[in-house]
Amino acid sequence: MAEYLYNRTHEYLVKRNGEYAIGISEFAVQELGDITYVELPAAGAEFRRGEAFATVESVKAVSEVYAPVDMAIVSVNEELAGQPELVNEDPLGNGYFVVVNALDESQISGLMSLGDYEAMVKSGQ
Amino acid sequence: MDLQAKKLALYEQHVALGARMVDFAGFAMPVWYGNQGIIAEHMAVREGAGIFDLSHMGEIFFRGDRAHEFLQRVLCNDIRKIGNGSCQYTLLPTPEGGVVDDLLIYQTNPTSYFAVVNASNIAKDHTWFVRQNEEGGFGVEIANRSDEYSLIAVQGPKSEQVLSAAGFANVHCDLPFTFRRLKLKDVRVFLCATGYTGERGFELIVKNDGAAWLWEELMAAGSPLGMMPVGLGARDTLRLEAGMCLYGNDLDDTTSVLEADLGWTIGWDKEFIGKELLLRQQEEGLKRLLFGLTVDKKLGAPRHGARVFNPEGEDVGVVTSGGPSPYLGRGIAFCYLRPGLAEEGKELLAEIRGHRVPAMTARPPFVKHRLYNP
Repeated sequence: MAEYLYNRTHEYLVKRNGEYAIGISEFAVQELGDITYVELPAAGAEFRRGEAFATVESVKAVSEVYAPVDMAIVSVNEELAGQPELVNEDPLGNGYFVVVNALDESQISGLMSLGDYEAMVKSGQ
Repeated sequence: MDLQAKKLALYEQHVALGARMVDFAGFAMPVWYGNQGIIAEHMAVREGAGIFDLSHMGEIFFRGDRAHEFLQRVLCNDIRKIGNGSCQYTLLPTPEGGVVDDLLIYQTNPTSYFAVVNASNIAKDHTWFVRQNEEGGFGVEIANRSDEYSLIAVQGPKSEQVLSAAGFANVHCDLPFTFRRLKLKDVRVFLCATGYTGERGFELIVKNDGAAWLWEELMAAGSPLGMMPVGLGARDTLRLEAGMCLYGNDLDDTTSVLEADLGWTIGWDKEFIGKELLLRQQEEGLKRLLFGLTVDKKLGAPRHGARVFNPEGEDVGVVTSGGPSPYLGRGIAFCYLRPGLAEEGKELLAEIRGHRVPAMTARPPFVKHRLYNP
């Protein structure tokens, strides 16, 4: 099974069939609480690392979701339009946001392992 | 969370329940609980019952021969409308057309009252009361006893069942805005048929040393009935659905009682601070009026600070409170609009995440109050 890699801003990236699925971490979901709306980009759109590519609304707050690497959107998770709660229920699985092509594979090595990510979260950074 | 936040009497209870604690106005308060979340807590109150810790709210007591006269002078509502054992929603207007706070005033008897005020305004209100008392020479004894009291609310259609199961005799909330003093075991409780949700329910004011015991009794009685602990997150979504203002969002030092569409609280047949300006506003017409907006679920929800536009693209108002309505399943908001637009069914545009999306005006409350049994 492919390894989940994490971004400092709480996105994950995981390899699926030669492409990458991106979503938000379990920690981020716990922080946000009940998610009520997810705004996703169009297929084909390109984002640079650090750019906001999606917006997630919880009952209390609106948050941006950032590109962990330079990427081109292959497809988005259409299910989230009708069932944003999938992000709460299964953030690492059915609650993924988008599938992308990485435009610069070398950036992937800059992401964190789950262990490093959890350590970062624990230290409160 | 900020460790500077003051821990109140029920802090340990919240932590044990897995609450997510936040600093709210300097108090460590639960925003939601563990695996429940705001939506589940919200729906528990609409469909069954929820219990809230509102101990951050302030309690200010007034005593004296001229207490009635003093309160008639500083509050806009007319306390002649209530009697002993009743309370009233009212506001503290300023001469400049703003509002110091909104609050409930409780009459124990014509020489003894207390107010329950917003946590963020306790010191400001107390200062205001003291100053007006001195300037008017009323000689009322004013005591801020916020640190001595805890406040627990039980809200929802099963509220009476919960209190009965906890050992309260002959409880009902068929008479909203009334209260009585009673003893449960050895603990003195002010039992008030009041709330901030639009549902039947109670608010229980108790000295801090009895708060944990009362909370546990109510939890033990309510849990088998499906009652959930409810945090400040759902408190906000519930009050917004019920069309109730939140000071700091929908009301502040610059909004007048009339602009906030709270004209029904004004006692025009008496003199009070700020009346002159309100009379003038009534004669000259208002520049803005607090009203409601709804937005389709698929478009998200307008939030505090979002601008509102008419179809021609003119800026016609601003959202003061907004978010998704768990009960209605769409975005709802309070907004200050040009008065001509403050009627049902006007098609406007609201800013959401930088886009202008279709929004429809609606008269709050968004969810009808259900204070009386059907």
